[in-house]
Amino acid sequence: MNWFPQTGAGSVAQYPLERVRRWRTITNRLENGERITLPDYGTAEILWDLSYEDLSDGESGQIRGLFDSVLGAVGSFTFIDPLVNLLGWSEDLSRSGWQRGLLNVAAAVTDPQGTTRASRIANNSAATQALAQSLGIRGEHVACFSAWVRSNTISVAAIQRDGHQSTYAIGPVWKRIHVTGAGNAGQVDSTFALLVEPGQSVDVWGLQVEAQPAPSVYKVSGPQTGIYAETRFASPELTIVSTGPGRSACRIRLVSRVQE
Amino acid sequence: MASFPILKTGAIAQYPLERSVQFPVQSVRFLNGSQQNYGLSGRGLRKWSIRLNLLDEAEVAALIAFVEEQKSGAFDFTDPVTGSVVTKCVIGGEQFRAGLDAQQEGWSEMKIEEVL
Repeated sequence: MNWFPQTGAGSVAQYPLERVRRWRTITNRLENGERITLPDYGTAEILWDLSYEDLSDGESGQIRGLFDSVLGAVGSFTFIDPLVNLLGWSEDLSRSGWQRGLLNVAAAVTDPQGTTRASRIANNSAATQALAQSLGIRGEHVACFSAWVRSNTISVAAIQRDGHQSTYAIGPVWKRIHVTGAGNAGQVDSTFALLVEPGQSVDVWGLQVEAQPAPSVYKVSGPQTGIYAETRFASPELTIVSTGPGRSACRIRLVSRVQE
Repeated sequence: MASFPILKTGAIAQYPLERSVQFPVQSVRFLNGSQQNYGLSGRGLRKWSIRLNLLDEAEVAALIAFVEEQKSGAFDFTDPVTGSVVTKCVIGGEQFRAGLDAQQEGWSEMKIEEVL
């Protein structure tokens, strides 16, 4: 399977970028102005307008290599939305996408913004448990998994992507923790997990995964979205401009089919 | 029913805000050139053209999440001028545009249409 490459810095896109979500509806307009609409499934798509500057030869070569391997606008590849939180239901840990193990999860806990959108996860078992979600991000892709956590007692929080783990000292004050980098090469999925030690209770809010090396401002998410396996180049022509020694720029338009 | 997301400032829209109202009408044009219009509904249907600038990433993402959840479905929209809640609105034009020009410089464009 082909993937749209990340730049050397680990980002999918540069500024400026544009995202146009399109869909089609079947509409009946009645005489009195009433409108009856039904979704026309299978027609939804997202158009991406991406501009890149100061790409190295390696970075522009990766884009060119993808373009060659999919024969321009013919073949498809996977593109990751750079604007959204890739986790599903970031504030509803009871949803099926979350793997909770033996953790007890309580919602409606006060979060760092003063609302009650955080959750308290407690591990009353004898072994370490994980709050985890698996996403279709290949191991080679750089991603950042972040969360706001606090604990009533001074303890350690561990956050991990597959086997790659970061640990932080946490206490009663909310702290944003993250793990970043690539996962296990060759894997087609990645699992992002917050580990909870036996007897530990942690308040958590703002869980977020994004395809970039550092956490950005937290974005609440609904159903899992943002990984588009049926993306293609919108144009059969790719133009890359050499702007200086070892430096290139290009503008790329992509079309992602959205599964509904 | 879902509600349209508000910005961190509490605002729903920014200037310039384009809004219109349309009364469904049936027109009959006669041979002598005159025309007679029949009103088909007792009230006008409103439309808003919402262009938002200088959004941060969370605000852009909230709008994207709302559109992904909503698509062609109806939702509640608070009229930015009157403050009244319009209970049956849809996203018009079958598209939603959003982008980031720089950090803290996100934008979005959409049309909101009231339906009967």
